[in-house]
Amino acid sequence: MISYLANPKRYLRFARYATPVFGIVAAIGFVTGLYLALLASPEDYQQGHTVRIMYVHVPAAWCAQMAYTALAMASLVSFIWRHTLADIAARAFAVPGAAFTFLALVTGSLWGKPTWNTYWQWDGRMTSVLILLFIYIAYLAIWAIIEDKKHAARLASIFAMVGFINIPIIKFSVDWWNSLHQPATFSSPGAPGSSSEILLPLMTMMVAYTALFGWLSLRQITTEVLRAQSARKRQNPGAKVTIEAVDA
Amino acid sequence: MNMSLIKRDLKLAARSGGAWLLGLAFFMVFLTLTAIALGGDANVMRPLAPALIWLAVILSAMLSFSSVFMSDYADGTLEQLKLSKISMLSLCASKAAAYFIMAIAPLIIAAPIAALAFDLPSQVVWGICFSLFFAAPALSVYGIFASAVMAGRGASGFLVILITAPFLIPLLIFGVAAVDSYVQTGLSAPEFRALAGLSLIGSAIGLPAAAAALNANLE
Amino acid sequence: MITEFPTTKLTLTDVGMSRGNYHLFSGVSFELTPGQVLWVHGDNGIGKTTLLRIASGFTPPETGTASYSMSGQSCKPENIIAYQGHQTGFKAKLTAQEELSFWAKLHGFNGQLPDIFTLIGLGEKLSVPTGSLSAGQKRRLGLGRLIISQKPVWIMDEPAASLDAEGSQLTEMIISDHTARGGSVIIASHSPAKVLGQNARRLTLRAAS
Repeated sequence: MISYLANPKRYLRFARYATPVFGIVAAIGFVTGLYLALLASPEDYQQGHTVRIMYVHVPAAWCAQMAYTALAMASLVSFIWRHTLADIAARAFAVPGAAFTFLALVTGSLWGKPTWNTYWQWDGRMTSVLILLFIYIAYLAIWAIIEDKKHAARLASIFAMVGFINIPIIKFSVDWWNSLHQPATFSSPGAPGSSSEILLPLMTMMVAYTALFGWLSLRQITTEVLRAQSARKRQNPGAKVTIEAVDA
Repeated sequence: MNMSLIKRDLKLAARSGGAWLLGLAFFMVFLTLTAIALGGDANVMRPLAPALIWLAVILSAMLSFSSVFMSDYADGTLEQLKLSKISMLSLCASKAAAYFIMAIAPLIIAAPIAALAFDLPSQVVWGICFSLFFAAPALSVYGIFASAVMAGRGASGFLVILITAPFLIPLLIFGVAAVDSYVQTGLSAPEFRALAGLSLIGSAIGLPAAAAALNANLE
Repeated sequence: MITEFPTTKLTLTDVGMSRGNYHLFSGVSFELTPGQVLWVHGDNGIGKTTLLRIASGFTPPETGTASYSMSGQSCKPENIIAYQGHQTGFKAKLTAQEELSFWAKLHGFNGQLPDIFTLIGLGEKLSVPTGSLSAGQKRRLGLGRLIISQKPVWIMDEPAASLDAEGSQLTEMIISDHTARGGSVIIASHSPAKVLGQNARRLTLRAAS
């Protein structure tokens, strides 16, 4: 499917119908999900209503990681085939990805306050997500600092791939570190049980977040593709080249 | 890895008027400032010392990362090397070796001296040295990678820090833990295996990535 | 010293390149065979250096291909190309002799370095750090390195820059020698094109308007 979409015209045709689909799914998903999460789902017997933050926090964290995977895949394609659409896609995935990471951290922090009585806890998950945010920021900084965007794309794609391989390493090391240092009572607030009353809103929110990610990314990719197309149309003709023999 | 290249880099460092000592200087100053900030009380500092020394090493290394390839980009040597028999991968490996000798080895030597200043028992000192030694390849390789990406763009020293920090964190985690474990179980502690693993994986990823970055920056 | 180079061919086919959104050129095609000199003329900033860097294999072209062959077999650019760009490619703190020794070792040069130094007129400057050499002297040192590299195809970006009349003459002489032995050269320059070899061609990049 990737090679099918690689042609900008075909991509634009795909995006024209896919973007609103993602948008609608996201909208319905959020409305339903938030209703289920905030109103229709049960309280946690320990945490009370604050457990509801989980429905915002967990999908955000999951989406942050999924976005980075998409970013890394696009970077791989960009690196091997030097395809502009892959460059555009990778960059487009990074912004919502970083936003979801930040959202996960903030909601995690807000969840932590009533649960642990502290806004921040250096537990395995939060620390890993914080480091993921650093990776996103570094990735976006590479794009921002290097003026020639084709060049930026190349360096960013290399960095993204190095980052991707390191993420499991980072997660493993932070979890291991955390298991040494954190007393057991401070385990992170996990999803309390897996009854369908919990799973349904959680899954709905997951779908909603993913659709939102898809909608945002597609819009960004479309904007950039159109911009690249119009830039190419307006492009200067370039130098005229002539080759002739030189007489002695 | 190419011996002529390594020797050349070492010769250049020797003639650079001490510029290669930046990391070492920072290391000493950082630890001095830390000791002062902590009030100089040995009982307060002793438990923190392995972490502080490791922190000093990571930060000093980060400082010296950007200079690795800076002059090679600036004076056009990189292009000449690309058109030679030395592959970019071999170049990166040689640079990592030279970087280890110039930047990391002095820190490994200075660490025991710093440890004395913190009144650490000799077991802990050995732990620190061994943990640094096992982590050194990873540290060098990530530095080479960061410098290759930055291509000597001077204003973005902070980007070097952003690029390397996430990958240096596992090193820091296992490095500090290795020091504590060494005191109990010696070199068989799992943390040393983890550090060795990180160094191997780091080299396997970082060196080709650095070579790719060098090629990208020559485009 | 090599007396005869293997047969080489450098081919650019329909090469096009842009820098950012600025389109430099397209449809550039040529073949460079032994004994040929290709002059690249054009105003500053028009894309001469970019074209040379594409030919050298540093920059992949946006469209088209650059291909290289030696003795009929396809090969990599580093097998046949030596490049002298705007930057010196020398370390300021190493002496002229240390530099050429290093490159000689790297390129497997078995000849006499003192002869090279005499040829390029830097016999007196062996132990001078390259940073202390004048711009013209650095250019000459670069010429020495081109010879030492023993590569058949030379790609030279503005070789006459910072050279006095004597230096320019030396450059032309060395290039003629090189082509006589079967080497070929691409030169970006503002100097008028001269034959300096079996035959010479001029590639001109002219702004469209």
